[in-house]
Amino acid sequence: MRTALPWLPLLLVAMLLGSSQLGIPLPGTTSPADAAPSVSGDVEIVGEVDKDVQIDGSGCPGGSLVIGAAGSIAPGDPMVQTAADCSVSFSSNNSALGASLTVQEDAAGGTGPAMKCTIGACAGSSLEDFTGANWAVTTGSHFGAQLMSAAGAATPTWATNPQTYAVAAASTACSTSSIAAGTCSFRFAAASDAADVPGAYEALVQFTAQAN
Amino acid sequence: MYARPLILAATLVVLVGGLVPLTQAAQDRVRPETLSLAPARTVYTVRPGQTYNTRVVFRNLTRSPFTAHVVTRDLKPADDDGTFAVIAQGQARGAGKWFAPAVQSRRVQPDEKLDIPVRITVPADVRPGVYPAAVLVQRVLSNPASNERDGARITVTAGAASQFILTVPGGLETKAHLEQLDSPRVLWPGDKARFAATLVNDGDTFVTAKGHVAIGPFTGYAQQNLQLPDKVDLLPGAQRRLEVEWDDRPPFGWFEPSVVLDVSTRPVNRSYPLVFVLPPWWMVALLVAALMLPIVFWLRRRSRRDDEGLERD
Repeated sequence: MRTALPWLPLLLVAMLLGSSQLGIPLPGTTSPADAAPSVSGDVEIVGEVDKDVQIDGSGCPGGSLVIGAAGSIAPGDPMVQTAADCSVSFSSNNSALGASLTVQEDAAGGTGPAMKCTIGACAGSSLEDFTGANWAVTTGSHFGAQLMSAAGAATPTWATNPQTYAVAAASTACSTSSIAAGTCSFRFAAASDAADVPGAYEALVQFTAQAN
Repeated sequence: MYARPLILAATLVVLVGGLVPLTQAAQDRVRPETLSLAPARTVYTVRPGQTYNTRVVFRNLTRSPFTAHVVTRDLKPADDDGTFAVIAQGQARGAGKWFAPAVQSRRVQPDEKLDIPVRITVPADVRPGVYPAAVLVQRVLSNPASNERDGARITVTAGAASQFILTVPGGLETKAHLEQLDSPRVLWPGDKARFAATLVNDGDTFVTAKGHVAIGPFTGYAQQNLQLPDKVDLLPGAQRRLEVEWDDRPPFGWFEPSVVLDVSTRPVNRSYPLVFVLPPWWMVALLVAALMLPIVFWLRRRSRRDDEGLERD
């Protein structure tokens, strides 16, 4: 035993080196591969909760979301807008680059054009998504969103009314370039072809605020 | 004897009583009707097969209760270079599917703060790359579809997105370059001077860029640095237009501007063409006077010498 004592430190070093090279954990230690997870295997991600993104849809009352008087748009009607603006305010303090407001069809709307028949004899029918400024030369049925104005810190990315944008894939309508809030106002417009089947049509539109 | 204390007390009661509703009214006027979601953006490196726990914090700052809906979606770079990312169309098919919020919908009261735990499970067979996703908390603003009359109606949801940028490491390359440089060549007095460039992330990593436009005089002395407004985050394949204004410039001279960026610890620099700043009219007049005066004096002295020479003769 006494002769082995001087060799013990060297043996310990050799064990440590061998462990690190072979990835073998010594009793009471963990190998590098196992160092991060806890016993349950989960790792905690902590985000900066003082950096938020905000959206305010109080300027979008229900009455502003019906196309035509009392929601009536008849087959053959030319472009008819919603009667009042739907205003949305947005901001983010994540950075001085501000926030963006995007418009798209809600995923719950499924595939196909945004304005679809929901109830009635029109089952399976829809109004085509429309992007353009000149409704007068269009034929057939169409639906889209229009930016009416941008206020506060908002800068429009969309051109304003009468330019219309399809509500399909996400499109940035407005953005800010500071932590101040911006407000953008929208209307929705539709035109119905004479051959369209009457019924209850609905579009699911999603406004999303995100940090730039 | 008691008149003064009574008047003072009555005055205090009126003031305090008046201030309370005023304060409340002031609170009502400035109280926002907003939904707030934090954190705005989280960037993290993850490993295949690993599970992570995180949380998003939602606040109902409106005056009314409503049902908040929590969904997860994929993110992708935006087409326009002013937007960091957009929600991909349709249901989550990519990284958005890794996220499992503990709450799908919940009635929230005014001023209520809701901590939403979120579990992230990274697939074991995922390839190295950057995987952006978002946790959205949404509110239905109007649901006219409950009315079954004929017509065309729109159901609108408004939501805030908490972005998650997850990187699975492994042989990824950080690469970025500057293009579409735009700068003035000659600046007249009073002209606005703007330097612009587009930073393109053409690598396959998420990058953060910060830097400045360095403006050095032709002589190399007294260089100015125009700081970019803030750090810029870019997803792979994304680009961002960087602009900065040169407000406090010297009145005259030749200058050599250049963009100097640190893009995730890698330098990315480009030089602009030389810029010539023209002086204001009064400086031009001074310069002309300064050049002309010696010539005038010299001509007059020569003329006097000639006259003196003639007289001697």
